[in-house]
Amino acid sequence: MLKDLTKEKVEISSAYRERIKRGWYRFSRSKLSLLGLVLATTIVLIALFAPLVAPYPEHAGPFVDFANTCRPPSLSHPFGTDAMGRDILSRVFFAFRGALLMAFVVLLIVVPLGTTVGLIGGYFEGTWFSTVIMRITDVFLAVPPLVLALAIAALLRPTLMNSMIAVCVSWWPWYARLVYGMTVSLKNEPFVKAAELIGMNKFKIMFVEILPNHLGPILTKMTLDVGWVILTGASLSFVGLGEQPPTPALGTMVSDGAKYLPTYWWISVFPALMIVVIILAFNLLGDGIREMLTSGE
Amino acid sequence: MGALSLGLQGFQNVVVKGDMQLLKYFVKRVIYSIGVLFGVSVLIFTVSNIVPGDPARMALGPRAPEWAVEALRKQMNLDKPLVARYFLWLSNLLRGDLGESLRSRRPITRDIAEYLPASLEIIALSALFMAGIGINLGRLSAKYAGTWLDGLIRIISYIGIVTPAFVWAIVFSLVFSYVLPIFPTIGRISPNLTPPPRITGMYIIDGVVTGNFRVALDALWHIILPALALAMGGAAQAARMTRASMVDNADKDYILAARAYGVPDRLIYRKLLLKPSLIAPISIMALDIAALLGNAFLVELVFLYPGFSRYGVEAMLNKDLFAIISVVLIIGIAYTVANIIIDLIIAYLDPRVRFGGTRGA
Amino acid sequence: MSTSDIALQIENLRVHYKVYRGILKVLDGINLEVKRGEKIGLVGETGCGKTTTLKAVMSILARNAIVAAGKIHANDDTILEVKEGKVRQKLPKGVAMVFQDPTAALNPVFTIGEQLELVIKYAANVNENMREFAINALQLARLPDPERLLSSFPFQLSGGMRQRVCIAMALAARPSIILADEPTTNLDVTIQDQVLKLIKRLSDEQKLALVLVTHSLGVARETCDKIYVMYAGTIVELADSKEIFEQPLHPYTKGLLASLPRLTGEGIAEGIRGRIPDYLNPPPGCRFAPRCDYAVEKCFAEKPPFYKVGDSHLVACFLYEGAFERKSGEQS
Repeated sequence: MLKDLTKEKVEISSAYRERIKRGWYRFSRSKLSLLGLVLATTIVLIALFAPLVAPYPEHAGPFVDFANTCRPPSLSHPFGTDAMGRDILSRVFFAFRGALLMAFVVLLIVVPLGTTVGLIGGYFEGTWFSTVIMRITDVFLAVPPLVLALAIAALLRPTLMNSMIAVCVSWWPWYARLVYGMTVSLKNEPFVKAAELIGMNKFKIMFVEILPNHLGPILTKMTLDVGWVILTGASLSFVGLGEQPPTPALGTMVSDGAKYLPTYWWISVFPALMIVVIILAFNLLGDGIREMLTSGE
Repeated sequence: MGALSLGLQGFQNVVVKGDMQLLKYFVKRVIYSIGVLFGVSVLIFTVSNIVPGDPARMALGPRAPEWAVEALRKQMNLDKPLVARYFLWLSNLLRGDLGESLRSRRPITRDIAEYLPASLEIIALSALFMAGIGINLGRLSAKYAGTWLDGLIRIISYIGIVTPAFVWAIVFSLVFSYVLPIFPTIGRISPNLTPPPRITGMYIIDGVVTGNFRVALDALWHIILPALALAMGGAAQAARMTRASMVDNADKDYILAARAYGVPDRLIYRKLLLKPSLIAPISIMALDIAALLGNAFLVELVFLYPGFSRYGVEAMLNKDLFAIISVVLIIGIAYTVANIIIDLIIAYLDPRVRFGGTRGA
Repeated sequence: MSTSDIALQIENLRVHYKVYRGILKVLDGINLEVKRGEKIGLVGETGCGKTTTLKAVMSILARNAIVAAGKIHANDDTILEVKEGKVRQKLPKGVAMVFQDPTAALNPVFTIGEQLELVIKYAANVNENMREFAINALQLARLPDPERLLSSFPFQLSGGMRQRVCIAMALAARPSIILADEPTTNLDVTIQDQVLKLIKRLSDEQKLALVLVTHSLGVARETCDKIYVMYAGTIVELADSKEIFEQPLHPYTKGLLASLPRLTGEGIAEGIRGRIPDYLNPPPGCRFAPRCDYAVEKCFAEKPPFYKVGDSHLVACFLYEGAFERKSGEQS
């Protein structure tokens, strides 16, 4: 008996490897998805190794060089310098850190929380319990996430941590609703009924039977959300919430540079462009993941 | 404009033929939404009041004397427990009193009356752009699927999706101020003109109604750029989804049957294929439009447009408590109303929903 | 024989599909003929190209379909012709098609009335009294309460009713030929019977030519005068319905009949060994040869022509080489 089981295990893991290989093949068929992967990886690497990669790492801190203010893009300063003489390229690299940190932390908290709420709400659909949970979710959903995040972040002291909290509070219901919808449509499927019949623990059913079916859409949404969370963070820092100077943040850099338009256009335009690149990268990546996970299995 | 004719016909079908199910559905949704809005008011009230910091002190500044702060605190009912404050606020709300703004020192209702119509104008035009540009591009893309036109539209759509509204705002602002000065890039109307007499607060409508066409046109000119900047993302999404839906549905038997019966292509694309494909894009668009009331502030800032969103953000930054609560509540109302409108539109587009189904084809 | 007797004629139809992996050579020279008022059954298993044949007639083939060769005449009009590599195709007049899945064949967001109106306007070219026309069509299809139906949506009807609506739509086009693609496959068994009887009756009453596509020989036998047996994109046998059952000639037909379960207690049928060929690389000779118990070398190398056995019984199999040979397309 034992021997058979180990053979089964080996077969399963090689089946997994097959799936991964096929998944990668499908993913890599689209050049755009590969581009997204490359861009996203580059951004993450830059953020991680900013002190090493940035040409002028000290410019990301309290630094002024009034001799070099508002210089246009050049070889030594590919993105130009800002009103305090700081190299914009280096500051952008360091700004990636805060942005990615926010995306990472927010998603780390929001996805498990929202998914659990959605699973419970969806599986126990019809009970008062589920109704209460989903009504609460509806209340949070009644306000666009940026507005709620703004309100909360504005009421707290302006720090990166607080803006992360604000975004978390306004982001979790979207996962709850996504998972709720999917769970409700699955909970009457035969495989769930079968598990119930054999007396499987309700929590096991939710997490072991139902949840794996949702992983595709959840993973896709997570990837796409990296870009949108970063945009929300940038919108917050644009109005002065979130990371405070002198730590660079993309939104802050855009709003600081706005007063110098159009003469010293590079001060606003490059950080804004970087925001677009981030969203583009994670959108392409997310689309690729969606293609990979849904093109017929 | 296929979508427009569909809309008119739908109006005919629903209103004139008096669809009972639709009405019942509508009423149910409204009641539910009111409940949700109460929830929102509780949420935002609680959040803004449990946050650290003393609103009265923050309003008056660090140098105000203690007695002035005390007096303001009493006036804002800050000495009473949270629940009592909520009900006091609620009873005031039901009497039409939203409190006073700590910055403008005016009743908030007056602030709203001044700024909300301005944003509504932008949003209305933005919605028109989104639907008009988005759906039609998507339709073209589907009809010529696989050709260069399709490819081009898809690239443009993608750019539209990944570029945030404020980036478009900055681009338009630069281009139209310095390269191609056709449209104004600042404010609501030109400084040398006076706004028309106030009926709705919306300059364009008021201008037209009172015969002040010059002012109305000027106001319209001023909202074109911000509305366009705000519409790009939604239009791109709509184009993509319309195309995807139409391409999916084009292989369905009922379309093949229509072709087999000799229904001309243009009728198929404008009506038979379009209607079932609009459900997904319209849901997304309507949510986007509703969210504009809150998300428009960046664009309003770039164009220095005195809109509701900008007012809200400034209230939040200045911790103007009652203004914050009022703004969030109104945005919540707008979002909820938009959701109801979407549901109505979908119930019209997809009759299966009217009989107790859920959204989603 | 005067041509006005023949309602639909398909000559040497070859249709290919272009897919990612290559070209699927599905239809390999289909010949079919239906006289006015005649009911013929086109029988074959799933994937043999029956639907493709019908779609070729209605000129609604998929975008990746290539008509490699063939000619189709419907109602004395050439609606498809391939000359020197160029395909000329137009929508046939007076031909209506009933699809397999009535739920998919009706537009879910328009009322029955609206959809009927389109058919009446564009297929029947009637612009006045459309409502009466529509009600008439619905009544012909034996649908109760036609006025209410006009303002109903497809999802409000049962499966059987939806298929009747599709039949009504086909009738509303005032056709002289009806192509029915497995019209009862998606319905309950009891409803199947009703719908089939309806189709047969309508064909009789209105003198309509009928091409009934089905995978069930039994259904074809009940409803049709003649049966064409189709395998992997080729016609392998054709004869009067009774004849096919009493004297099946082609090994495939014999296999099909043998696999029909019998109530007389002979056990569960065996089925035919093997699978349908890969259309990417179909066998050069007879397409059934790899599965055939009687196949000889010649079968794998050459395509068998039609041999006439008896009055109107044709079979494409080298087993009958001794019988009188016929060129494809000619009939007596």
